[in-house]
Amino acid sequence: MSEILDRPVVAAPTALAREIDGNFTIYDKQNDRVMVLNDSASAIWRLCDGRTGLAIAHELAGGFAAPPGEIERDVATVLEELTSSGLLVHPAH
Amino acid sequence: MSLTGSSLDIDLLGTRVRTTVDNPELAGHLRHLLANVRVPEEPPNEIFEITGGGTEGDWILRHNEVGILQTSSRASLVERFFAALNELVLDDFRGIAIHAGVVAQGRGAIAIPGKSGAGKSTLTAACVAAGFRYVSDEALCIDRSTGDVIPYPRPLMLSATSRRLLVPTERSEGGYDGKRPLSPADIGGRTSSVTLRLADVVMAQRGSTLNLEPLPLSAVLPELLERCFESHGQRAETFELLWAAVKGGRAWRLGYRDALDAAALLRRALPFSQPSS
Repeated sequence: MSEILDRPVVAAPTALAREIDGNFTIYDKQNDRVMVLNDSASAIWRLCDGRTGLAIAHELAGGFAAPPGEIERDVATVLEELTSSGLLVHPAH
Repeated sequence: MSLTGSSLDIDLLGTRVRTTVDNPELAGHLRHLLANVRVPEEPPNEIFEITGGGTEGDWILRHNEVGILQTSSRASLVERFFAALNELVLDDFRGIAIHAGVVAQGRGAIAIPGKSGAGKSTLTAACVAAGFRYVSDEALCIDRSTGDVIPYPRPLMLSATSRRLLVPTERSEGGYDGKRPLSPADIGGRTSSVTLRLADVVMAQRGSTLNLEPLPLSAVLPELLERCFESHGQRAETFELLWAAVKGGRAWRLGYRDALDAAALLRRALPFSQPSS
């Protein structure tokens, strides 16, 4: 399992997120760019409130037919991408 | 606009401009082109001066007593005058300004964002000829405090090709191939005179099959931010205000080759929307 799932995640202070049509559009103040999240990334972003990636995957598992392992992999992929983009940060436990 | 003698006073986006013209015919032409622009409530603080056109010489354009052009071509002078006016007005504007053509139906503004040379003036003019009200061929201007769309009805600046498309009687003027101004009235159109809210954003792609399809609103936010004029270090605030402006509206992708066909499709297919304040 990806290490990122064990860590709590929150939006970076430089990420300004606004929901439109059910999906999030994020302005990255640090890099002056805009990122539009798709449905699944938006569902994950909505839960990035300090809980861990694993907790997010468990929360989402109730709403998806996919096996838990597959959901965890998808959550890990999205969290890694958003973290490397500087839009998510990982506060200490 | 007010015209006293050869002095034309206008208020564009809050910039108050006086233009003095010593050639009566050109003064009349500018008066026609600026007929729908507001009259300033206070004295103008920017002065353009146009002299020349007599038998012996060049036209001269000055801004606040500084010469910016001397030319023998009246068409060139007029194009430069409107370019300088545009630059001045948008530089002074403290709201959000986005490169876009804008037309209106009722209180709903329809924005067609695009970079310079993308054909937005031609498409805007075609939309005006098709029955939409004219708002601007250059910029979608939004008041930061109210979110209202502020009309910026400078004359439509069209290339010779576009003018021939829209004005069947158009003839070339002395071989001049730059842009020349046109009033909405010249193509049978009218300027919007009401307070507007952003209702639709149309992402136009010239060179593809005629088609209009809905887009998710989230798809237009990056484009609008990308097309913003310099927003004086307020990008995050601009992003938030743009989000607020578009979230109650609609977004579309328009494919087209012929601007007249595209305007007719928009007129036919775009559902009438009266946005809430």
